[in-house]
Amino acid sequence: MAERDGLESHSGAESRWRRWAEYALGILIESSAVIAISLAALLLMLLIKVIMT
Amino acid sequence: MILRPTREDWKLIGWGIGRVILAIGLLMLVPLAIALISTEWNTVLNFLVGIFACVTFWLVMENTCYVKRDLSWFHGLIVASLGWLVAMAFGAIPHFLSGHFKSYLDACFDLMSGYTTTGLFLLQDLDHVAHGTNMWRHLLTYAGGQGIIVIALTFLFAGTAGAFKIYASEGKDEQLLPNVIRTARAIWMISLTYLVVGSLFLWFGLMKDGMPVGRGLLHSVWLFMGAWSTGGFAPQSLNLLYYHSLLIEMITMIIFVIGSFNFALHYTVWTGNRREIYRNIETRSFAITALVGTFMLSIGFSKVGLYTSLTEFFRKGFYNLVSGHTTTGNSTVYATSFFKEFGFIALWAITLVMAIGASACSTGGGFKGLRMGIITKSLWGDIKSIVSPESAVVREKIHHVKDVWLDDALVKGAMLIVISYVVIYAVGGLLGTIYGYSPSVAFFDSVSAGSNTGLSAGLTTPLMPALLKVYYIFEMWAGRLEFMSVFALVGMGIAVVRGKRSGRR
Repeated sequence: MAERDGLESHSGAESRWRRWAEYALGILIESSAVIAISLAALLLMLLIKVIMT
Repeated sequence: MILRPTREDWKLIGWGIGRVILAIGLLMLVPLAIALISTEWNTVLNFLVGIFACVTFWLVMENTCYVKRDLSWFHGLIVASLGWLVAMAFGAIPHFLSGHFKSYLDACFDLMSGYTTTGLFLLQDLDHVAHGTNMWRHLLTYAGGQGIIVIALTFLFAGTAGAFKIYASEGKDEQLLPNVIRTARAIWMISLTYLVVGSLFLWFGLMKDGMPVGRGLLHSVWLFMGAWSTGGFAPQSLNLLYYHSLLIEMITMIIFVIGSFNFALHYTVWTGNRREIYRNIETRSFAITALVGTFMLSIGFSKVGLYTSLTEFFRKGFYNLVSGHTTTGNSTVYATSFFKEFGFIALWAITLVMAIGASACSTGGGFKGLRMGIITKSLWGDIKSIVSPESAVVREKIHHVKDVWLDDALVKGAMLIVISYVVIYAVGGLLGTIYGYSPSVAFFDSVSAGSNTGLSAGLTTPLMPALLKVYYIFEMWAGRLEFMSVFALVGMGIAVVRGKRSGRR
Protein backbone atom coordinates (compact mmCIF):
# COMPACT_ATOMS: atom_id res chain seq x y z
CA MET A 1 0.00 0.00 0.00
CA ALA A 2 1.28 3.37 -0.93
CA GLU A 3 2.46 5.53 1.94
CA ARG A 4 1.32 9.13 1.89
CA ASP A 5 2.97 10.51 4.98
CA GLY A 6 6.49 11.39 3.96
CA LEU A 7 8.34 13.58 1.49
CA GLU A 8 10.29 10.54 0.40
CA SER A 9 7.29 8.25 0.16
CA HIS A 10 4.78 9.50 -2.39
CA SER A 11 2.49 6.89 -3.90
CA GLY A 12 4.15 4.28 -6.04
CA ALA A 13 2.36 5.53 -9.17
CA GLU A 14 4.06 8.90 -8.99
CA SER A 15 7.30 8.88 -10.85
CA ARG A 16 10.53 10.06 -9.34
CA TRP A 17 10.88 12.97 -11.77
CA ARG A 18 7.44 14.27 -10.85
CA ARG A 19 8.30 14.22 -7.17
CA TRP A 20 11.49 16.18 -7.79
CA ALA A 21 9.58 18.58 -10.04
CA GLU A 22 7.25 19.24 -7.10
CA TYR A 23 10.22 19.98 -4.84
CA ALA A 24 11.69 22.31 -7.51
CA LEU A 25 8.36 24.11 -7.76
CA GLY A 26 8.31 24.44 -3.98
CA ILE A 27 11.79 25.98 -4.01
CA LEU A 28 10.73 28.34 -6.82
CA ILE A 29 7.61 29.49 -4.94
CA GLU A 30 9.56 30.11 -1.73
CA SER A 31 12.26 32.05 -3.61
CA SER A 32 9.59 34.14 -5.37
CA ALA A 33 8.09 35.06 -2.00
CA VAL A 34 11.50 36.34 -0.82
CA ILE A 35 11.99 38.36 -4.01
CA ALA A 36 8.47 39.82 -3.72
CA ILE A 37 9.09 40.97 -0.11
CA SER A 38 12.47 42.47 -1.14
CA LEU A 39 10.91 44.39 -4.04
CA ALA A 40 8.16 45.72 -1.78
CA ALA A 41 10.80 46.89 0.71
CA LEU A 42 12.83 48.61 -2.03
CA LEU A 43 9.71 50.36 -3.32
CA LEU A 44 8.98 51.58 0.19
CA MET A 45 12.53 52.86 0.51
CA LEU A 46 12.20 54.75 -2.80
CA LEU A 47 8.90 56.24 -1.66
CA ILE A 48 10.42 57.46 1.60
CA LYS A 49 13.41 58.85 -0.31
CA VAL A 50 11.09 60.83 -2.60
CA ILE A 51 9.07 62.14 0.37
CA MET A 52 12.14 63.08 2.41
CA THR A 53 13.87 65.00 -0.41
CA MET B 1 4.66 18.40 46.27
CA ILE B 2 8.02 18.39 44.45
CA LEU B 3 9.55 14.94 43.99
CA ARG B 4 13.28 14.39 44.07
CA PRO B 5 14.60 12.65 40.91
CA THR B 6 15.23 8.96 41.50
CA ARG B 7 18.35 7.00 40.58
CA GLU B 8 16.43 5.64 37.59
CA ASP B 9 15.63 9.21 36.41
CA TRP B 10 19.32 10.11 36.49
CA LYS B 11 20.16 6.95 34.56
CA LEU B 12 17.60 7.70 31.84
CA ILE B 13 18.88 11.26 31.49
CA GLY B 14 22.49 10.02 31.36
CA TRP B 15 21.59 7.44 28.69
CA GLY B 16 19.83 10.07 26.53
CA ILE B 17 22.73 12.52 26.83
CA GLY B 18 25.16 9.70 25.93
CA ARG B 19 23.28 9.23 22.65
CA VAL B 20 23.39 12.96 21.92
CA ILE B 21 27.16 13.03 22.50
CA LEU B 22 27.61 10.02 20.21
CA ALA B 23 25.83 12.05 17.50
CA ILE B 24 28.37 14.86 18.04
CA GLY B 25 31.24 12.37 17.76
CA LEU B 26 29.80 11.01 14.50
CA LEU B 27 29.45 14.55 13.14
CA MET B 28 33.18 15.08 13.76
CA LEU B 29 33.91 12.45 11.10
CA VAL B 30 33.05 15.03 8.39
CA PRO B 31 35.69 17.65 9.39
CA LEU B 32 38.08 14.78 10.06
CA ALA B 33 37.67 13.67 6.43
CA ILE B 34 38.17 17.24 5.17
CA ALA B 35 41.32 17.58 7.32
CA LEU B 36 42.63 14.26 5.93
CA ILE B 37 41.98 15.33 2.32
CA SER B 38 43.67 18.69 3.01
CA THR B 39 46.61 16.92 4.73
CA GLU B 40 46.15 19.01 7.88
CA TRP B 41 47.68 16.50 10.28
CA ASN B 42 47.42 18.59 13.44
CA THR B 43 43.71 19.12 12.75
CA VAL B 44 43.28 15.38 12.12
CA LEU B 45 44.74 14.72 15.55
CA ASN B 46 42.44 17.32 17.16
CA PHE B 47 39.35 15.64 15.74
CA LEU B 48 40.56 12.15 16.64
CA VAL B 49 40.89 13.32 20.26
CA GLY B 50 37.39 14.82 20.08
CA ILE B 51 35.85 11.65 18.60
CA PHE B 52 37.64 9.48 21.18
CA ALA B 53 36.25 11.62 24.02
CA CYS B 54 32.68 11.48 22.63
CA VAL B 55 32.73 7.72 22.01
CA THR B 56 34.22 7.04 25.45
CA PHE B 57 31.50 9.15 27.11
CA TRP B 58 28.78 7.34 25.12
CA LEU B 59 30.18 3.90 26.00
CA VAL B 60 30.28 4.79 29.71
CA MET B 61 26.70 6.10 29.62
CA GLU B 62 25.38 3.21 27.54
CA ASN B 63 26.87 0.64 29.91
CA THR B 64 26.09 2.31 33.19
CA CYS B 65 22.80 4.11 32.54
CA TYR B 66 20.67 1.88 30.35
CA VAL B 67 17.27 1.13 31.92
CA LYS B 68 14.28 -0.56 30.35
CA ARG B 69 11.96 2.42 30.62
CA ASP B 70 10.78 5.09 28.24
CA LEU B 71 11.51 8.81 28.51
CA SER B 72 8.84 11.00 30.13
CA TRP B 73 8.32 14.71 29.39
CA PHE B 74 10.52 15.53 32.37
CA HIS B 75 13.39 13.40 31.02
CA GLY B 76 12.97 14.81 27.52
CA LEU B 77 13.24 18.38 28.75
CA ILE B 78 16.32 17.63 30.85
CA VAL B 79 18.05 15.64 28.09
CA ALA B 80 17.50 18.57 25.69
CA SER B 81 18.71 21.27 28.07
CA LEU B 82 21.64 19.39 29.64
CA GLY B 83 22.45 17.62 26.35
CA TRP B 84 23.19 20.95 24.66
CA LEU B 85 25.56 21.98 27.47
CA VAL B 86 27.43 18.67 27.49
CA ALA B 87 27.53 18.71 23.67
CA MET B 88 29.10 22.18 23.89
CA ALA B 89 31.84 20.91 26.23
CA PHE B 90 32.69 17.92 23.99
CA GLY B 91 32.36 19.76 20.69
CA ALA B 92 34.76 22.45 21.92
CA ILE B 93 37.66 19.97 22.25
CA PRO B 94 38.89 20.15 18.60
CA HIS B 95 38.27 23.91 18.58
CA PHE B 96 40.37 24.47 21.69
CA LEU B 97 43.15 22.18 20.45
CA SER B 98 43.34 24.18 17.18
CA GLY B 99 45.18 26.98 19.01
CA HIS B 100 42.84 29.68 17.68
CA PHE B 101 41.19 30.37 21.04
CA LYS B 102 42.33 32.41 23.99
CA SER B 103 40.73 29.97 26.45
CA TYR B 104 38.47 26.90 26.68
CA LEU B 105 35.63 29.27 27.58
CA ASP B 106 36.10 31.03 24.22
CA ALA B 107 35.98 27.66 22.42
CA CYS B 108 32.77 26.80 24.32
CA PHE B 109 31.33 30.21 23.35
CA ASP B 110 31.90 29.48 19.66
CA LEU B 111 30.46 25.98 20.03
CA MET B 112 27.28 27.24 21.64
CA SER B 113 27.11 30.01 19.04
CA GLY B 114 27.38 27.36 16.31
CA TYR B 115 24.87 24.89 17.74
CA THR B 116 22.34 27.63 18.41
CA THR B 117 22.89 29.15 14.93
CA THR B 118 23.89 32.45 16.49
CA GLY B 119 27.08 33.26 14.60
CA LEU B 120 28.93 35.39 17.15
CA PHE B 121 32.52 34.19 17.43
CA LEU B 122 35.64 34.63 19.54
CA LEU B 123 37.93 32.59 17.28
CA GLN B 124 41.11 34.47 16.47
CA ASP B 125 42.78 34.78 13.06
CA LEU B 126 39.82 33.27 11.19
CA ASP B 127 41.43 33.95 7.82
CA HIS B 128 44.15 31.37 8.55
CA VAL B 129 42.04 28.60 10.06
CA ALA B 130 42.50 25.03 8.78
CA HIS B 131 39.85 23.67 6.38
CA GLY B 132 38.90 20.96 8.89
CA THR B 133 38.25 23.51 11.65
CA ASN B 134 36.29 25.74 9.27
CA MET B 135 34.20 22.75 8.19
CA TRP B 136 33.49 21.99 11.87
CA ARG B 137 32.29 25.57 12.48
CA HIS B 138 29.90 25.48 9.56
CA LEU B 139 28.74 21.92 10.04
CA LEU B 140 27.95 22.74 13.66
CA THR B 141 25.70 25.57 12.67
CA TYR B 142 24.07 23.58 9.85
CA ALA B 143 23.40 20.64 12.14
CA GLY B 144 22.41 22.92 15.01
CA GLY B 145 19.83 24.57 12.75
CA GLN B 146 18.02 21.28 12.34
CA GLY B 147 18.59 20.63 16.05
CA ILE B 148 21.10 18.40 17.81
CA ILE B 149 18.24 16.32 19.11
CA VAL B 150 16.85 16.00 15.57
CA ILE B 151 20.23 14.57 14.52
CA ALA B 152 20.22 12.12 17.38
CA LEU B 153 16.59 11.24 16.66
CA THR B 154 17.28 10.63 13.00
CA PHE B 155 19.96 8.07 13.60
CA LEU B 156 20.10 6.99 17.20
CA PHE B 157 16.66 6.98 18.79
CA ALA B 158 14.68 4.93 16.25
CA GLY B 159 11.86 3.01 17.87
CA THR B 160 11.85 5.05 21.09
CA ALA B 161 8.33 6.07 22.02
CA GLY B 162 9.69 8.92 24.15
CA ALA B 163 11.43 10.44 21.13
CA PHE B 164 8.75 13.11 20.63
CA LYS B 165 9.34 14.36 24.16
CA ILE B 166 12.97 15.23 23.54
CA TYR B 167 12.17 16.49 20.03
CA ALA B 168 9.61 18.96 21.38
CA SER B 169 11.91 19.91 24.27
CA GLU B 170 14.38 21.35 21.76
CA GLY B 171 11.95 24.12 20.80
CA LYS B 172 10.53 22.36 17.74
CA ASP B 173 7.05 21.48 18.85
CA GLU B 174 5.49 20.95 15.42
CA GLN B 175 5.22 17.50 13.95
CA LEU B 176 5.25 17.49 10.15
CA LEU B 177 4.25 13.85 10.11
CA PRO B 178 2.48 11.61 12.64
CA ASN B 179 5.75 9.87 13.49
CA VAL B 180 8.49 12.01 15.08
CA ILE B 181 11.35 10.02 13.55
CA ARG B 182 9.78 10.57 10.11
CA THR B 183 9.39 14.26 10.99
CA ALA B 184 13.11 14.47 11.80
CA ARG B 185 13.94 12.74 8.50
CA ALA B 186 11.62 15.08 6.55
CA ILE B 187 13.44 18.06 8.10
CA TRP B 188 16.73 16.58 6.87
CA MET B 189 15.28 15.87 3.43
CA ILE B 190 14.28 19.54 3.02
CA SER B 191 17.62 20.82 4.34
CA LEU B 192 19.75 18.48 2.23
CA THR B 193 17.82 19.32 -0.96
CA TYR B 194 18.39 23.01 -0.31
CA LEU B 195 22.05 22.27 0.52
CA VAL B 196 22.62 20.85 -2.96
CA VAL B 197 20.64 23.53 -4.83
CA GLY B 198 21.90 26.50 -2.78
CA SER B 199 25.54 25.40 -2.84
CA LEU B 200 25.44 24.93 -6.62
CA PHE B 201 24.14 28.48 -7.13
CA LEU B 202 26.78 29.89 -4.78
CA TRP B 203 29.54 27.84 -6.40
CA PHE B 204 28.55 29.20 -9.80
CA GLY B 205 28.51 32.74 -8.42
CA LEU B 206 31.91 32.40 -6.76
CA MET B 207 33.53 30.91 -9.87
CA LYS B 208 31.97 33.67 -11.98
CA ASP B 209 33.71 36.14 -9.65
CA GLY B 210 37.03 34.37 -10.26
CA MET B 211 37.41 32.00 -7.31
CA PRO B 212 39.24 28.72 -8.10
CA VAL B 213 37.02 25.62 -8.46
CA GLY B 214 38.13 23.76 -5.32
CA ARG B 215 38.15 26.79 -3.03
CA GLY B 216 34.87 27.93 -4.54
CA LEU B 217 33.26 24.58 -3.72
CA LEU B 218 34.34 24.73 -0.08
CA HIS B 219 33.26 28.36 0.29
CA SER B 220 29.91 27.70 -1.38
CA VAL B 221 29.10 24.80 0.97
CA TRP B 222 30.21 26.81 4.01
CA LEU B 223 28.32 29.93 2.96
CA PHE B 224 25.22 27.85 2.35
CA MET B 225 25.48 26.16 5.75
CA GLY B 226 25.92 29.52 7.48
CA ALA B 227 23.01 31.14 5.63
CA TRP B 228 20.49 28.28 5.58
CA SER B 229 20.88 27.55 9.26
CA THR B 230 20.53 31.30 9.92
CA GLY B 231 23.87 30.95 11.72
CA GLY B 232 25.73 33.60 9.75
CA PHE B 233 29.16 32.04 9.96
CA ALA B 234 31.39 32.62 6.94
CA PRO B 235 34.91 31.35 6.22
CA GLN B 236 36.46 34.83 6.21
CA SER B 237 36.64 37.36 9.01
CA LEU B 238 34.99 40.04 6.85
CA ASN B 239 31.97 37.76 6.40
CA LEU B 240 30.06 38.61 3.18
CA LEU B 241 31.99 41.86 2.76
CA TYR B 242 34.97 39.70 1.70
CA TYR B 243 33.29 38.68 -1.58
CA HIS B 244 32.21 42.17 -2.77
CA SER B 245 29.58 40.48 -4.91
CA LEU B 246 25.98 41.56 -5.39
CA LEU B 247 25.14 38.13 -6.81
CA ILE B 248 26.49 36.26 -3.77
CA GLU B 249 24.66 38.67 -1.47
CA MET B 250 21.38 38.09 -3.31
CA ILE B 251 21.76 34.30 -3.29
CA THR B 252 22.67 34.18 0.42
CA MET B 253 19.76 36.48 1.25
CA ILE B 254 17.27 34.23 -0.53
CA ILE B 255 18.81 31.21 1.25
CA PHE B 256 18.63 32.69 4.74
CA VAL B 257 15.10 34.04 4.35
CA ILE B 258 13.90 30.63 3.14
CA GLY B 259 15.95 29.02 5.93
CA SER B 260 14.08 31.16 8.43
CA PHE B 261 10.71 29.75 7.29
CA ASN B 262 8.90 27.17 9.38
CA PHE B 263 9.69 23.56 8.40
CA ALA B 264 5.94 22.91 8.45
CA LEU B 265 5.54 25.67 5.84
CA HIS B 266 8.25 24.12 3.62
CA TYR B 267 6.61 20.74 3.95
CA THR B 268 3.13 22.09 3.14
CA VAL B 269 4.31 24.05 0.08
CA TRP B 270 6.47 21.17 -1.16
CA THR B 271 3.65 18.68 -0.88
CA GLY B 272 1.18 20.62 -2.99
CA ASN B 273 -0.44 23.39 -0.92
CA ARG B 274 1.22 26.30 -2.77
CA ARG B 275 -1.14 29.01 -1.47
CA GLU B 276 0.11 28.43 2.06
CA ILE B 277 3.13 30.63 1.31
CA TYR B 278 1.02 33.82 1.38
CA ARG B 279 -1.77 32.63 3.66
CA ASN B 280 0.53 31.61 6.51
CA ILE B 281 0.56 33.95 9.52
CA GLU B 282 4.36 33.74 9.79
CA THR B 283 5.03 34.79 6.19
CA ARG B 284 2.61 37.70 6.61
CA SER B 285 4.10 38.64 9.96
CA PHE B 286 7.61 38.55 8.48
CA ALA B 287 6.60 40.68 5.49
CA ILE B 288 4.95 43.31 7.72
CA THR B 289 7.79 43.55 10.25
CA ALA B 290 10.41 43.59 7.46
CA LEU B 291 8.57 46.55 5.89
CA VAL B 292 8.32 48.34 9.25
CA GLY B 293 12.08 47.77 9.68
CA THR B 294 12.73 49.08 6.15
CA PHE B 295 10.68 52.16 6.94
CA MET B 296 12.72 52.85 10.09
CA LEU B 297 15.99 52.11 8.28
CA SER B 298 15.12 54.48 5.42
CA ILE B 299 14.24 57.29 7.84
CA GLY B 300 17.40 56.62 9.86
CA PHE B 301 19.67 56.60 6.81
CA SER B 302 18.01 59.74 5.41
CA LYS B 303 18.69 61.56 8.67
CA VAL B 304 22.43 60.74 8.61
CA GLY B 305 22.76 60.88 4.80
CA LEU B 306 23.98 57.27 4.50
CA TYR B 307 23.49 54.77 1.64
CA THR B 308 21.32 57.05 -0.45
CA SER B 309 21.46 55.07 -3.72
CA LEU B 310 19.13 52.10 -4.22
CA THR B 311 21.99 49.61 -4.69
CA GLU B 312 23.82 50.84 -1.60
CA PHE B 313 20.64 50.74 0.43
CA PHE B 314 19.95 47.16 -0.70
CA ARG B 315 23.48 45.86 -0.14
CA LYS B 316 24.42 47.69 3.06
CA GLY B 317 21.08 48.44 4.65
CA PHE B 318 18.32 46.04 3.62
CA TYR B 319 20.68 43.03 3.51
CA ASN B 320 21.76 43.55 7.12
CA LEU B 321 18.20 44.30 8.21
CA VAL B 322 16.90 41.05 6.74
CA SER B 323 19.94 39.19 8.02
CA GLY B 324 19.06 40.48 11.50
CA HIS B 325 15.35 39.78 11.09
CA THR B 326 15.94 36.19 10.06
CA THR B 327 18.45 35.96 12.96
CA THR B 328 21.21 35.02 10.51
CA GLY B 329 24.05 37.44 11.15
CA ASN B 330 25.66 37.47 7.70
CA SER B 331 26.92 41.00 7.24
CA THR B 332 28.11 43.28 4.46
CA VAL B 333 29.49 46.04 6.71
CA TYR B 334 32.19 46.24 9.37
CA ALA B 335 30.88 45.50 12.89
CA THR B 336 31.73 48.99 14.07
CA SER B 337 29.67 50.54 11.24
CA PHE B 338 26.43 49.65 13.03
CA PHE B 339 27.35 51.91 15.92
CA LYS B 340 29.53 54.53 14.26
CA GLU B 341 27.74 55.05 10.91
CA PHE B 342 24.17 53.73 10.98
CA GLY B 343 22.87 56.28 13.45
CA PHE B 344 20.43 55.77 16.33
CA ILE B 345 17.22 54.99 14.37
CA ALA B 346 18.77 52.50 11.93
CA LEU B 347 20.69 50.74 14.75
CA TRP B 348 17.50 50.30 16.77
CA ALA B 349 15.55 49.22 13.67
CA ILE B 350 17.94 46.28 13.33
CA THR B 351 17.83 45.61 17.09
CA LEU B 352 14.02 45.52 16.94
CA VAL B 353 13.80 43.07 14.02
CA MET B 354 16.49 40.88 15.61
CA ALA B 355 14.38 40.69 18.76
CA ILE B 356 11.32 39.65 16.74
CA GLY B 357 13.28 37.06 14.80
CA ALA B 358 12.25 34.30 12.46
CA SER B 359 9.57 31.60 12.25
CA ALA B 360 8.74 28.95 14.85
CA CYS B 361 10.04 25.44 14.13
CA SER B 362 12.72 26.87 11.85
CA THR B 363 16.46 27.27 12.15
CA GLY B 364 16.01 30.82 13.49
CA GLY B 365 15.54 32.44 16.89
CA GLY B 366 13.83 35.44 18.51
CA PHE B 367 10.18 35.91 19.56
CA LYS B 368 9.10 34.20 16.31
CA GLY B 369 6.56 35.37 13.73
CA LEU B 370 3.94 32.93 14.97
CA ARG B 371 3.95 34.45 18.46
CA MET B 372 3.90 37.98 17.04
CA GLY B 373 0.89 36.96 14.94
CA ILE B 374 -0.90 35.40 17.93
CA ILE B 375 -0.31 38.42 20.17
CA THR B 376 -1.25 40.96 17.48
CA LYS B 377 -4.42 39.07 16.55
CA SER B 378 -5.33 38.73 20.22
CA LEU B 379 -4.88 42.48 20.77
CA TRP B 380 -6.97 43.17 17.67
CA GLY B 381 -9.66 40.87 19.03
CA ASP B 382 -9.63 42.76 22.34
CA ILE B 383 -10.02 46.08 20.53
CA LYS B 384 -12.89 44.68 18.45
CA SER B 385 -14.68 43.36 21.53
CA ILE B 386 -14.39 46.80 23.19
CA VAL B 387 -16.07 48.57 20.27
CA SER B 388 -18.65 45.78 19.66
CA PRO B 389 -22.00 45.51 21.44
CA GLU B 390 -21.77 43.77 24.82
CA SER B 391 -23.64 40.72 23.61
CA ALA B 392 -21.27 40.16 20.66
CA VAL B 393 -18.83 37.25 20.85
CA VAL B 394 -15.52 38.17 19.24
CA ARG B 395 -13.14 35.35 18.37
CA GLU B 396 -9.97 35.63 16.34
CA LYS B 397 -8.17 32.96 14.35
CA ILE B 398 -4.79 32.65 12.71
CA HIS B 399 -3.81 30.61 9.70
CA HIS B 400 -0.78 28.42 10.17
CA VAL B 401 -1.04 25.36 7.90
CA LYS B 402 -4.64 25.18 9.10
CA ASP B 403 -6.98 27.68 10.77
CA VAL B 404 -6.38 27.90 14.52
CA TRP B 405 -8.84 29.68 16.85
CA LEU B 406 -7.12 31.75 19.50
CA ASP B 407 -7.81 30.91 23.13
CA ASP B 408 -6.42 32.28 26.40
CA ALA B 409 -3.96 29.40 26.87
CA LEU B 410 -2.41 29.96 23.42
CA VAL B 411 -2.05 33.71 23.96
CA LYS B 412 -0.72 33.24 27.49
CA GLY B 413 1.87 30.72 26.28
CA ALA B 414 3.04 33.09 23.53
CA MET B 415 3.21 36.03 25.97
CA LEU B 416 5.23 34.02 28.51
CA ILE B 417 7.90 33.15 25.95
CA VAL B 418 8.06 36.72 24.57
CA ILE B 419 8.42 38.13 28.11
CA SER B 420 11.19 35.61 28.83
CA TYR B 421 13.05 36.82 25.74
CA VAL B 422 12.62 40.46 26.75
CA VAL B 423 14.02 39.68 30.20
CA ILE B 424 17.17 37.96 28.90
CA TYR B 425 17.72 40.72 26.31
CA ALA B 426 17.37 43.40 28.99
CA VAL B 427 19.64 41.70 31.55
CA GLY B 428 22.36 41.26 28.90
CA GLY B 429 22.00 44.87 27.81
CA LEU B 430 22.22 46.16 31.37
CA LEU B 431 25.22 43.93 32.11
CA GLY B 432 27.05 45.31 29.06
CA THR B 433 26.17 48.86 30.09
CA ILE B 434 27.49 48.23 33.62
CA TYR B 435 30.77 47.05 32.07
CA GLY B 436 31.05 50.45 30.38
CA TYR B 437 29.83 49.76 26.84
CA SER B 438 27.48 52.21 25.14
CA PRO B 439 23.85 51.18 25.91
CA SER B 440 23.04 50.95 22.18
CA VAL B 441 25.97 48.61 21.59
CA ALA B 442 25.30 46.58 24.75
CA PHE B 443 21.62 46.05 23.86
CA PHE B 444 22.41 45.37 20.20
CA ASP B 445 24.84 42.55 21.06
CA SER B 446 22.67 41.20 23.87
CA VAL B 447 19.60 40.99 21.61
CA SER B 448 21.81 39.47 18.94
CA ALA B 449 22.95 36.71 21.34
CA GLY B 450 19.52 36.06 22.86
CA SER B 451 17.75 35.93 19.50
CA ASN B 452 20.55 33.75 18.04
CA THR B 453 21.34 36.34 15.36
CA GLY B 454 25.09 36.91 15.42
CA LEU B 455 25.41 40.51 14.24
CA SER B 456 27.74 42.47 16.49
CA ALA B 457 28.21 46.19 16.98
CA GLY B 458 31.73 45.53 18.22
CA LEU B 459 31.22 44.33 21.80
CA THR B 460 31.73 40.61 21.14
CA THR B 461 35.48 40.09 20.97
CA PRO B 462 37.93 37.77 22.80
CA LEU B 463 38.68 40.74 25.08
CA MET B 464 35.13 41.11 26.43
CA PRO B 465 34.69 40.31 30.15
CA ALA B 466 34.44 36.60 31.02
CA LEU B 467 31.11 37.11 32.84
CA LEU B 468 29.59 38.59 29.68
CA LYS B 469 30.86 35.60 27.69
CA VAL B 470 29.19 33.23 30.16
CA TYR B 471 25.97 35.27 30.11
CA TYR B 472 25.91 35.32 26.29
CA ILE B 473 26.39 31.52 26.29
CA PHE B 474 23.37 31.32 28.60
CA GLU B 475 21.39 33.70 26.36
CA MET B 476 22.16 31.72 23.23
CA TRP B 477 21.27 28.43 24.92
CA ALA B 478 18.06 29.62 26.61
CA GLY B 479 16.93 31.53 23.51
CA ARG B 480 17.43 28.54 21.23
CA LEU B 481 15.61 26.12 23.55
CA GLU B 482 12.81 28.66 24.01
CA PHE B 483 12.98 28.47 27.82
CA MET B 484 10.75 25.50 28.64
CA SER B 485 13.67 23.06 28.86
CA VAL B 486 15.62 25.65 30.84
CA PHE B 487 12.71 26.09 33.27
CA ALA B 488 12.59 22.29 33.62
CA LEU B 489 16.31 22.21 34.43
CA VAL B 490 15.86 24.90 37.10
CA GLY B 491 12.91 22.89 38.42
CA MET B 492 15.09 19.80 38.62
CA GLY B 493 17.72 21.76 40.54
CA ILE B 494 15.05 22.79 43.05
CA ALA B 495 13.75 19.21 43.22
CA VAL B 496 17.23 17.88 43.97
CA VAL B 497 17.67 20.33 46.85
CA ARG B 498 14.15 20.54 48.26
CA GLY B 499 12.20 17.63 46.76
CA LYS B 500 10.85 14.67 48.68
CA ARG B 501 11.94 11.10 48.06
CA SER B 502 9.38 9.10 46.13
CA GLY B 503 8.73 5.87 44.32
CA ARG B 504 8.69 5.76 40.54
CA ARG B 505 8.02 8.97 38.59
